[in-house]
Amino acid sequence: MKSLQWLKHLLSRKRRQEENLERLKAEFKIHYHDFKLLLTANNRTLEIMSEIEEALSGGRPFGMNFVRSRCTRVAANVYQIIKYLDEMSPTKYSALFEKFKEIQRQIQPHLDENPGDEEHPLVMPLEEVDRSLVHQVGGKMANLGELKQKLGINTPKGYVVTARSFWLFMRHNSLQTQIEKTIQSMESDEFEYLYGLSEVIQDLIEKAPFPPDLEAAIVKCCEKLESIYGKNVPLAVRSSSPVEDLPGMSLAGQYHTELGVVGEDILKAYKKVVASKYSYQSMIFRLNLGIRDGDVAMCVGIMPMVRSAAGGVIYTKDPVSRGEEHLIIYSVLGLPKLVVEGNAAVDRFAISRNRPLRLLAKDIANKNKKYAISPSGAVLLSEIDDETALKASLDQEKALELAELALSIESHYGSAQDIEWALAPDGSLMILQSRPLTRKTPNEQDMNIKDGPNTEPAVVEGGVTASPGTATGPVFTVFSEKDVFRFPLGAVLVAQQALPLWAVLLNRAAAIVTESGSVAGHLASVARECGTPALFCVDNAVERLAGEKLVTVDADARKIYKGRADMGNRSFVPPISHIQGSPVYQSLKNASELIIPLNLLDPDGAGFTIENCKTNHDITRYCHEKAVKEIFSFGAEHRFSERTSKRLFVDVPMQYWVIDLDDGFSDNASEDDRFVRLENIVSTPMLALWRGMTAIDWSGPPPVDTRGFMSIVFESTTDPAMLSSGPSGYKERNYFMVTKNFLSFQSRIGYHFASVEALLGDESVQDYLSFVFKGGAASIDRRVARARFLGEILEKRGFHTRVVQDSISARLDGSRRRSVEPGLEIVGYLLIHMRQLDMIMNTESSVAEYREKINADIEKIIAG
Amino acid sequence: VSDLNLLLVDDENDFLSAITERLVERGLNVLSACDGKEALQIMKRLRIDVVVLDMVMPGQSGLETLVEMKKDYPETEVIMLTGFADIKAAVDSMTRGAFDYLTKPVSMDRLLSRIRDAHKRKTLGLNLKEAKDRRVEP
Repeated sequence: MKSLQWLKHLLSRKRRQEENLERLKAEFKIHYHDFKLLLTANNRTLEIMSEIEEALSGGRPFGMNFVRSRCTRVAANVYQIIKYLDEMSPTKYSALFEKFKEIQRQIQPHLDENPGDEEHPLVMPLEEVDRSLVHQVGGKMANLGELKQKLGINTPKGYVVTARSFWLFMRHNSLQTQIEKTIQSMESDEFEYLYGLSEVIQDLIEKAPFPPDLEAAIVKCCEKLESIYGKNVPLAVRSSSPVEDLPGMSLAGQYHTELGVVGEDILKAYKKVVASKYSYQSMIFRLNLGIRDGDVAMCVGIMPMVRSAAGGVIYTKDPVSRGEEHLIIYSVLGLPKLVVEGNAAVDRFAISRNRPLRLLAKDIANKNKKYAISPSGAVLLSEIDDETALKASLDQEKALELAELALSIESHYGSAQDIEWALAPDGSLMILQSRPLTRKTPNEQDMNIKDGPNTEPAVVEGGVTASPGTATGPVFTVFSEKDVFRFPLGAVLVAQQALPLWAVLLNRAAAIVTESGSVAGHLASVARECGTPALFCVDNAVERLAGEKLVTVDADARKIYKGRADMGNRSFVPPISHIQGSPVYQSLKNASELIIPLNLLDPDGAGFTIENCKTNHDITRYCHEKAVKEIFSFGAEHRFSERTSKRLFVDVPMQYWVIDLDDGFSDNASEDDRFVRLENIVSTPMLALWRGMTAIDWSGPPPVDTRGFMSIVFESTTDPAMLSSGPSGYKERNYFMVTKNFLSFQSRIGYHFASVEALLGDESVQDYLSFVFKGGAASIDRRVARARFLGEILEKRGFHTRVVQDSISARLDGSRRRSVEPGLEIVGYLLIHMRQLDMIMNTESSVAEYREKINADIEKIIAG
Repeated sequence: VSDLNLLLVDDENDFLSAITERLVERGLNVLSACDGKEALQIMKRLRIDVVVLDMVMPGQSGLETLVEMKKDYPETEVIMLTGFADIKAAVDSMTRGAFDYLTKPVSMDRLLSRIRDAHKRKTLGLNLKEAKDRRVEP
């Protein structure tokens, strides 16, 4: 009966032990999976940080969707890192969650955009508007109001639909959310992609319903204009954005203007102008200039169309300055539209800036076409008879009056201006818009490229400098919109016409050469703003450059050379990057200050604490360090009975025990629960360690002098931990806990304690090796000497070591990939051969002798 | 992954059908729902291992749906997938138990790898629970 109870007891103990092992394995597996997930999130965080740093280096444009998505991705990954560390050791690191939230709260304001929530009317009469209201009414309308109010200048009457209305419209039925979702889900800077995206968004806007109060307000202001100018008065519906007409970036001609709008079509026209915020040209410009989408409200001006006898543009200074400054007027018959389109023949007048103003030169072109308003309000291009075509569109008196007006505007704003004007049939002048003029000065030092040995004479000469500078690139001729998508970066754009359409290529093109075009056109303005050299009006440029592969364009000297010409003392100036310092750039820069800097540098230092984490990077660094400790403490802290492990069946004097935590044994391992053979172990790190342990036969302990032996006896009597009394416990054996890629080896024999922890060969985790060795039987000075000796050997092999008294900890991590496997072999060798070296740490000669032998052995081992 | 039951929840039908097709090609059992309510109905009837859940949907939001899912099916892992990157939303959903917060566009490889990670996490969690439960038996 007693023996039956005994048997039952034995069986139940065995079952409990097996269950414990199962639970242990399950626990380890989830820990290890969490550890891997933590490291994956850590690596992703570092990758995103690199993307942010690359963006901040200023090479490529990026938008707010980039800024937001990267900051959000960092946050999501850092949260996961904390979560997995917390799972590995619940509550120990909980303070990280609050720290994390605190950092994200600080990042958030840098990602918020100005939503334009100010309380102002939906629609405002232009006579009540001035420059101080630019954020509410946009640059164009603010300037018109300013000219009227402050200078008493004749400008169109009308209304502006404000920024508040824009946001009201965009938020109605979640239109803005739909747009942002669409943009973010198509993240690409490719033109073709943006083109498609632009069409989708514009379509969303044009089909969106109006908020009822906005619709009523717009209709009402039309009715008021009709009550003054008559039923069905044709209206001009113009864009006016707070982010346009700014110094250095006018975004000339990028938004839509709808002319000849009658009656209820006003609502359709409003949506069309609003949709042009997402024309692909304006999307590309915002991207290139780093303008935040959320900062751009599209305000819309509604005004009666001005029937004009003549119109055009006046620059208060020459945009391409060549010495003495003049006012330049570009003028056509009819509406000024032909001048800003930049492709028609136009009259040019140069007027002195000194008073009394004088007409210095006039160049009257053969203007065979003009834009006019039909009786129904439509804008039509019509032919001009030969006689009228050759007449000046503006007489001297009106030219001087216009110049005077322009100078007063320049003086009011304090900078050179680009002013659009119209001459009414009754002879009165009206200003349609005024914006800062971007000017460039050509290189006056050397107007000719120095003829060097590789420079042939110019293949093309002549034309007009629309934007100064010099550049070399392959010729690429563009004919239609589809050519935009194929345009190679750094090519010289050659075209017949200087169409505003080509403006999107200005950040890609090295230079522009066209057969027609005006310095006053939109393309020329934008080329100057982007710093892209442009040479217009080059006769037969397309045909003459057709056979050329590589050319050098000298827009200053108005010459084009074959190949890469020697530019003498002038160097190629790359296109101006507007992204640095832009609002989008600044948002990322500010957010990055809370993401990228690393303040926690020394894991062993007193400052390596949660409280000192100031950035997301600090959190990841902290968690990474602690996670490695946690995963290996699993091996160090768990105690098992011998029955849950298997003894390694090998022909060596020592006993080793192995616990398989997951996949450390091969499938054909013996079912015998007592032993495991080495050939059935597939744990890569254990096998590497074992190779080192058995590579060189151990010749036994070194000969010990009498003092060395006496010190063992003395230490044993004073340190009870070193005494081995009674049957040896499991914890005093050598045991391996393994998986295919994981190793935790603990060895505690007599006077020595050693542990080796390693990760090797798991592609999703960086390799890692940590080695701790402590103790010994000799006196403390000899043990300390041995620890230092070990440190010296390991440092030489690339380990990072730390010696404190008689203990040494050494570490190799994944930044030195492929070094962990030989590192394990070296450590394996040292484990066996260093055990009793403390005894001989008394003479320099014996130390030197052992150093030489050990180094030679290590060389042999790592040579394989 | 052939034993993995995945539930996709998104109000954009085109997106839903495109992504379903590609995940089925890779051997997953994919169910789909166009809003949170429908998703919760499906979960009542079938075992769902991993959910890929849109944040912005008409009616019940992604976040509200996540909270209900984690309350009734704590072992099911939920990956948020959104076209609207927002730190606050990311933090809110992660603290309410989301496995990950991904922003569109996301590559199919990355989505699949996250689905696998989530599935493995769920399986390991259940194994551990079973091992612990077994231990308390007399």
